[in-house]
Amino acid sequence: MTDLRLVLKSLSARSTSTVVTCLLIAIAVALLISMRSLREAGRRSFTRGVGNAHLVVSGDSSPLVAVLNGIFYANPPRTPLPESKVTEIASSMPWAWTIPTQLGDSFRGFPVLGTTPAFLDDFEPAIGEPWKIRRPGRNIEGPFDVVLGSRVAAATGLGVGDRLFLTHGMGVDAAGGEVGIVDDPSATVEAEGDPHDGHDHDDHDDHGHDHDHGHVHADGSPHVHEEATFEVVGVLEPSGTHHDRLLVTSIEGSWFLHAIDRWEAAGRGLPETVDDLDAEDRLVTGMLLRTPVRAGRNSAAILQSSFDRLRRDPSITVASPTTQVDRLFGIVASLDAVFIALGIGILVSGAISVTLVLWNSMELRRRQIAVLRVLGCTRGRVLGLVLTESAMIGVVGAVLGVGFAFAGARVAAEVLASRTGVVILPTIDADSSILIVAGTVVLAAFAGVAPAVRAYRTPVAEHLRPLD
Amino acid sequence: MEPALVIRDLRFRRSGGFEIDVPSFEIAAGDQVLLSGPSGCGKSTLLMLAAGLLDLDAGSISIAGRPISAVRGAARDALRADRVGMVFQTHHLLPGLTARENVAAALLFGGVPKGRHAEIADGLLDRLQVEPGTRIDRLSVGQQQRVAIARAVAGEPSIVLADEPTAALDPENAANAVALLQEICKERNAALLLTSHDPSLESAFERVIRFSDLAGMEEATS
Repeated sequence: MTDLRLVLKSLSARSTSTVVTCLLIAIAVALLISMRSLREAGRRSFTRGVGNAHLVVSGDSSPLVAVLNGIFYANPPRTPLPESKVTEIASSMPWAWTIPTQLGDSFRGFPVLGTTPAFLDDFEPAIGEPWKIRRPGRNIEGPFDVVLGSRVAAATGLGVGDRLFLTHGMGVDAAGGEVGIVDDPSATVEAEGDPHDGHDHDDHDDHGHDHDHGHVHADGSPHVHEEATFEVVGVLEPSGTHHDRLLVTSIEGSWFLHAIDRWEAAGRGLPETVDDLDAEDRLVTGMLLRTPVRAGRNSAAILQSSFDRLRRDPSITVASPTTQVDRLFGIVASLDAVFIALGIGILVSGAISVTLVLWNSMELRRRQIAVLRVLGCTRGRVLGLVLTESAMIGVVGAVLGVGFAFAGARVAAEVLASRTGVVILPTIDADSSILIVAGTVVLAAFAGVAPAVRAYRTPVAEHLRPLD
Repeated sequence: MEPALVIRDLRFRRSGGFEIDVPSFEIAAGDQVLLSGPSGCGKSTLLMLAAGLLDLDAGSISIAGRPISAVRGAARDALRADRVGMVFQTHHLLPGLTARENVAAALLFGGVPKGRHAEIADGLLDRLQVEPGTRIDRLSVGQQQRVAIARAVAGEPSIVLADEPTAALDPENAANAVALLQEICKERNAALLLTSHDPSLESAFERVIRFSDLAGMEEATS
């Protein structure tokens, strides 16, 4: 028999109210911890997803939008840059690499990135972790080659040798896989049958040149480009970033698709090959840049001067992705504060309910307390027993809350990854969690003070009647 | 050997005219006394005063030579834990706990090492024929009474104060319970002060005192 056993017995005797109060506290703790955890994991994930790009250039109106579009593929930028601007920027300074990017097409809701082979050779989706192409497979070479990100491959079941049509526009639900706003949804899927054994492409050797049934949507709404058949030439290993949702194709292929629409609208007929495209077709929506750095480092003094020089050009927006990610999370922080306030509110409600539950139970337990006093239990020890009881509710609630937070953050991460492609790795920050748990236990113990004082003051003789 | 209980010049007053005066009263070590009197006369209050659960207005009470009325707070609680055992009419066992845990609870606040609590409790319960692991709410009233007796003597007290322990029992069980309590107290060399309004118990005690006589008791008569 120990004091702890007495406390546990007392808690279990009121199991319903104990469980409810513990749950109330657990929810508050979970909310507080998961808010912190998700925000930190989100910031880490966004920062990681920047990869080894130092700068983003686009025609967007603001640096934050340039980064959200250029690196996180939020939307195709509305103001593209001419190819000549890309050449000009590329040759203006000694860059480690420059990668043009063209957004605007999608496949089953996954964004298609028209770019150069350098995107898979030089750009690292996370610093120090270059792309790896699964074997058999290779980088893009021809204009209608496509390399699938791991999530695309997993979601669609497509593999090397499969063919597909791309959709102009981004307005498709990634999770659904159905293209509800095109004339014939089935046409977006690969050209031949089942994606899992779609390797019989004998009669499609001339892929990319089939212009027979293009639908031109004058209003610019998404539609399927059946004029060009793209072939999967590689599948990427997972990078653990949002880039895994990409279909990487050649920028010429992207230009070609866009030229079809533009030429058709202008009544010019259709381009035959990518060589037919003129300067107005050869537009990019963005550019990723990296300044030269010494081996093993990710930044150099030259970055600031490069940034400053590019900024003088009024026709472009230049942005440092890491700075913009910090800015984004600065904006999000105010929303965090609301959730944290909510968590603290629930925690205080939990503490008040601990007080009420214990206070009410004291009425019924005064005889037990009197018996303990008869057995020699001091008033101080009675006080301690009740405080321990309330602290125990805090401990159980806090530990449960950490568990809930961990499970909840994992679920939230999974939902976020499948819906938006943002890959976050929620980890429970030990320091802040210990602080939150300790704070909760202290708060719960504090909530027991009034009932404990009531127990302390129990008049023993009065509660051992009726006797005479 | 010090007397188990010594009361001198006790005065206790409460509103409504309730008062107790005991000029002098002693119980020798190991002695057994029946304090009889009608319900409400103040027998229970006297036991509470003896156990240090109420404060005197004047006078002194000593248990085994230690002045329980002169010490306060934790020191008085410790003295009670070490030297006093109590038995009540309604047992006042701790609900939800086993018989063993109820008996061991009496040792939790005294000086007995923790490692011996279960052993002492089991020994006593075996002696009283109660299964130690049974929860007290699953025991009969008679068994609960025995657990209460075991709890009262577990800490090797100098005196057991039994407050109407038989009031809830039929005459036969009452006689058995008193006999058991007397036997156990004798075995463990604890004095016994038992209160009752039931005259039939008087034959079981060598020393019977009417509560109304306490006020007239002088030192010489104790």
